[in-house]
Amino acid sequence: MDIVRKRSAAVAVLIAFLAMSCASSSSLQQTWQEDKKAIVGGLGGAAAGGLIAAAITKSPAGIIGGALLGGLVGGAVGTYLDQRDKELQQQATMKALETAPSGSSIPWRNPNTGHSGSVTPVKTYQEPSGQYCREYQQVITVGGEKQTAYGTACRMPDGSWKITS
Amino acid sequence: MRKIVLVVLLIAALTAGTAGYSAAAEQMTREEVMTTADRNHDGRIDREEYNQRMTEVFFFADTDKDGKLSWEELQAVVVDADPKRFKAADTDGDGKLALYEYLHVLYVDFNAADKNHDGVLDMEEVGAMLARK
Repeated sequence: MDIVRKRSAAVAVLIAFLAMSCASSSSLQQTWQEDKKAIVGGLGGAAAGGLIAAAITKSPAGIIGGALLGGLVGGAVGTYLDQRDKELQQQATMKALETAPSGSSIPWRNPNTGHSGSVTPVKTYQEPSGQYCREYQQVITVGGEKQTAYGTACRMPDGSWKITS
Repeated sequence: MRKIVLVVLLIAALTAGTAGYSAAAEQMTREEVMTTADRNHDGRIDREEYNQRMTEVFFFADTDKDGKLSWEELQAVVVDADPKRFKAADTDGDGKLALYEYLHVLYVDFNAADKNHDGVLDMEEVGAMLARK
């Protein structure tokens, strides 16, 4: 049980860590074309889904760019997610924030480790400055244990998303 | 302004296509609208759900992410957008719709759709909105 508790704690810390980091995607461009249809399909049922679909498919370049700010995982937590896990998680986060309508999840899974997760925007709003922000839910499953966290990210002028809470 | 509103809840005329996704008309069913906008699944779209959905549409339509919706951005997603109506909505005259300008138009449209004035849109009212297209 100690091991289980430690692992749960580690996952929780990991999620907190991730929530403070900033998402970006360097390889998202590669996956964009593959995923576009699926994304649009998911959007098709959305109110104004057509509008969303049309909009997001116009400029995938907007998804790219943005520096990765902040470290991701360290200490004991790092033993549970490998680098590829982190990359996949970051890509999913970026894609979700940039392209997914609220309520739609962007999953990720690393077949090598069996670790997986998903990112689901839950609300979109605009700051008085015009900056867009999105609240989201993040789920990470490690060793069969699922941990859920919530965060808020705001879109920076360079197209990256900065986690603000 | 009705046409701008149609952008949102009602017309789904924009789904297929791509940069590419140029306005191949596809009418949403009222069930689809309800499913996606009715976040608490109570069978009705309240004003908060409506505004949330509309804000999200604004976010995705604003392709350059400058925080405002240009005429070109609107045209890209609304097949029969009316420039006169766009101009009328642009109350500060900067040539673009700020979110508040956009939501104001949609606020008016929500009220128009809410036939029984109960503050929410039910399936029947959503269906009537779609039929107005």
